[in-house]
Amino acid sequence: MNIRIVRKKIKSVSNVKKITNAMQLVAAVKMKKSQQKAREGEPYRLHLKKIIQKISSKIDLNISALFKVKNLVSNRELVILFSSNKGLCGAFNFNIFRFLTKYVNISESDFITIGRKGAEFISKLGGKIVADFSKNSSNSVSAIFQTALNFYLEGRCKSVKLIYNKFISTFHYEPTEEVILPLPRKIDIDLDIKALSLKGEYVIEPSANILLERLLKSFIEEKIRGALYSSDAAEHSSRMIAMKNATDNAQELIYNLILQRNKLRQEKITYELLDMITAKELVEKN
Amino acid sequence: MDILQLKIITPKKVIFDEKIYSLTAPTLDGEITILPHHITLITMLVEGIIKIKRLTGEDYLAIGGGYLETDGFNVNILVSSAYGQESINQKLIEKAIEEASMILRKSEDKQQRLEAAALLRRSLIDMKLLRKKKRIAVNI
Repeated sequence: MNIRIVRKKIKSVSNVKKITNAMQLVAAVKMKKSQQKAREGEPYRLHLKKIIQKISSKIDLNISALFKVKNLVSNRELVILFSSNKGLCGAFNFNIFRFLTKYVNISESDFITIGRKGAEFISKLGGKIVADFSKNSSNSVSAIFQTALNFYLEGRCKSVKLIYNKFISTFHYEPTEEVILPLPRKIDIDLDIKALSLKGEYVIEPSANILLERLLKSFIEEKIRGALYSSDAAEHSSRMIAMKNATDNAQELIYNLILQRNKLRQEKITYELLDMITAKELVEKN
Repeated sequence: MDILQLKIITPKKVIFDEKIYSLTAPTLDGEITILPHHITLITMLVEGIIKIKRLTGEDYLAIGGGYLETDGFNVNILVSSAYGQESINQKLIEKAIEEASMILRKSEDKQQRLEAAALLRRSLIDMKLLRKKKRIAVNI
């Protein structure tokens, strides 16, 4: 290889390295931010759960439409799919798509997509997207929930599922499936046990039934918000790691290229010396 | 004078955590005012304005709905939706549905383009083949 080409290559690789390094730092900051967001929402979820516990012991949960669909007209499923808007985040999107194709029958499902990559993937496979909330997703949690709820209450789907990458730690996330409608029975069982230890009677206005219905809706909405934040944090951590790997690889590449450059330079010098020496010898002989 | 500890919590974060004298909030049946030593109560709040009597001055807060819980000393307000949330939602949903149909249309366009490209490629090959055949025919 020509020494000039090697030099050029070193320059371009170090530029790439600078970019990936910057992206890594940005992703790290964003990850921290989305983790903080998830943490700041914790008191709300906690209080909501507490109130549900306090009043769930007083009424029969079976009456709520949230636990059982009444007039089912379609046997399809509604899937709320969380992915990212941008690429360059390692296997983040790929993992969720693999999970999706494994566990969901795409032709039998309708989709609400959050994240452009997911929307593109679904439309490529010929799936039906009913709504796409890729733009400004963090402010549309309530709207996402409303869309899903209407779909469900009109009997246009038998269940609503969330599919997202669950953030576990900076180095680890896991594709997860969570059924939000109809509400799984499990939550009210562990609610009832805790409710027994409740002290003091509460006055409940307007009535426990109406209030609980609303509370459960808020609860589901929080599930969606939780999934959104979790997916967000996972995306940024995934991107951070991908960019860190890219930076490390670039560093290694630069090291090898510099080695090669030095070798070439040395070679050139050696040849020049040889030339000079042979020329000198020739001159002296004559 | 007795005081209440008020906490206002939204899904995003705790926005108010202070000691207050009293608080007036909109509920389904009208307005209620919570004073210290209020009976333990859980109630639903509707769209309206919460009036807070702080130790110094008053404060107002517009909410779109939520829950209020008190035991006479502490008041917790969970704000589940912002003011005017429903109309905001309506707009967002409409936009999302439009977006979805656009994605589908785009992918349809893409598919048609791909199919057209494939057709073009095939016919180009056919033409080449034909030309070759002709040449052979001429040679013979």
